[in-house]
This record gives sequence, structure tokens and C-alpha cells, in this order.
Amino acid sequence: MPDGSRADQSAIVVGVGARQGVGGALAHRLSREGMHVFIAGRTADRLEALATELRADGGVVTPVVTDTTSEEAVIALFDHVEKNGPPLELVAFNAGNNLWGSLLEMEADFFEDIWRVACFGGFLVGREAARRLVPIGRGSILFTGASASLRGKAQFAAFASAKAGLRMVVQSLAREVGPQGIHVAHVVIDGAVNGEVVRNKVPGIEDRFGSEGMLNVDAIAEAFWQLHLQHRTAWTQELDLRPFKENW
Amino acid sequence: MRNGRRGDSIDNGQFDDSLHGGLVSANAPPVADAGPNQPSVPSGATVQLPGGATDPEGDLQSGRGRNLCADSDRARWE
Repeated sequence: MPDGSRADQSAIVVGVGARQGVGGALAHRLSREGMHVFIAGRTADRLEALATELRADGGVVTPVVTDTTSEEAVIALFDHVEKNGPPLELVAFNAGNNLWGSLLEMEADFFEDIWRVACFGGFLVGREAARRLVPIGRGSILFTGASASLRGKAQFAAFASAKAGLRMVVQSLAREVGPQGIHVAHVVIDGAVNGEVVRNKVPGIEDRFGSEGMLNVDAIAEAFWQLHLQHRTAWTQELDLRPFKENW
Repeated sequence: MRNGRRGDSIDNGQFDDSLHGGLVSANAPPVADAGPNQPSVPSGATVQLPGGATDPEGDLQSGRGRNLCADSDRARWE
């Protein structure tokens, strides 16, 4: 049950798909604080399912069907929040598409699609968030990164390059708007996320990693929230998260 | 110094603000009016906005593409 202490604040979570995923967990965490949470994703049914859960817990949530690769859609999302919600306080960009394959067999549109979702989408969302938050001089813009943000393994040319590009977008944004009071941070998730997407994509992965060998989505969401709470004299720009027994 | 801070190359992104401030300012995007926000409204039905969904069957989490690696045994978690 939300405590309502932040009922005068809006939050946007972009990249909400699976019910048991980082986006969903973020929405739950922010809703617990009483914020009006706008959940954005491309699939209406999935957004509705999550919204139903949040409302059942007393949350205030608005699902917004959004293609994060569309500039028009991202601007419309932020316009909608500005007109229909309390002042914006936190934006989380969680869209991504961890797909892989041989670079030699990779088609150009495959590479470009992954870049559009993971990197270009992050640019659009970060830019719109900054445009709305800079005038009020506060707020957080948080981005989901991955191991691939830091290095490209074989078969991950598309995803790693997109994630590395996003990391640079985030660093640049942080240096530009940090001095104006906006906390911009990048969270490197260095391990397998114990969520619906990974479990479906890699059957048997839970057995492979063993008990608590994968990142718990609620624990990830808590780390995002703690970033938001940081005092601005001690901000983290990049945070890495991994299971205690991850081989890294 | 055209290249920004002393010792930096021209393409490392660390331009001296004092030298490039005009250019940055000229290119800065228009800032949205921070005007008064309306009080919180009750959460409602799913919102469909212009340009919102180009791929109704899609999913940001899984992307529009497919794994090129068909054999899941070959696939490794990155």
C-alpha cells in the first residue's frame, strides 16, 4: 500500500514489458512511494496487466503506449505527463533488447533496430526528461545498462555497441545537466536478471546459475530508488550491480 | 584554443565551455515551459498518443528482431 508521501510527484518508467522484469519492479517500487507512475511500453496488454497489479495495491498509475524509438511518441509521452500528472520527479529508461547473433550473419536492420531501442530511445527519453526537469532544477534520470555497456563479447556486436553508446549519452547528459541540479545515473546490470524475459530466452538458466545466482528485479529497483534519494553532494553517476557469486 | 582544454584532442568531447558556450547555447533545444502542473488526476485507461505504437505486437523488452542464434545451446548469456 502506497504511503502517499510522494503523491505530489510523477515518475515515468520507460521500457515496461514483462510483468516480472526490471521495468515492472521499478513501477512497483515507485508506486509504493505514492508517486503517480506513468508506465510506458509498446504493448498495451502488458501495460494493462501491470497497471491492474499496481492499482490493486492502491497505486496511481497511467499506462501509456509508447514506441521509444519514435521522437513524436516520446515527446507526446512527456507532454501527457506534464499536463495530467503532478510535477515530474524521476524518469527511468529501461528499454532494451538483448539479442545476439554472429556479426557475419547479421542483417543491417537487425543491428539498427537494436540501436534504435537501446541507444537512440535513451537519447530521446533523456533529452525530453532533461528539457522538463532542468527548468525546475531537480529530479533524477536513471538508465538501465548492462555488462555489454562495458565490453563487446562475440555475437553481441549489435547489443554491446548500442549499450555502450547509451552509456556515453548518459555520461554526456550527466555532465551537462548535473550542475543544473539533475541527477543522471547509469546502472550497469552485470549479470542475468531473474525476470520473465531472461527465463524465456534462455531455458534452464536458473539451474545454471543456482540459488540467488541471478539479479532479483526488486533488488535492482531498490538500487534505482536509492540513487534517487542520494544527497546531491554525493551523487553516483554509475552504479554496477551483480549477484554475490557472479564470475566477473 | 580551438580544440578546447589544453592537451585535449578535438574529438574527445571535452570542449571548454567558455570557448564553446555560444555554440552550445545556439544549438540548445527549446526548453519546455515549466508552468504549473495540474494536480494529480486519477489513473485511468491506457493512453494512446500520436506515434505511440508502430508495432502493436512488439515489445520493448524483446525488440523487433529475433535472435540470430537459433540454437539456444550456442547462445551464451552476455
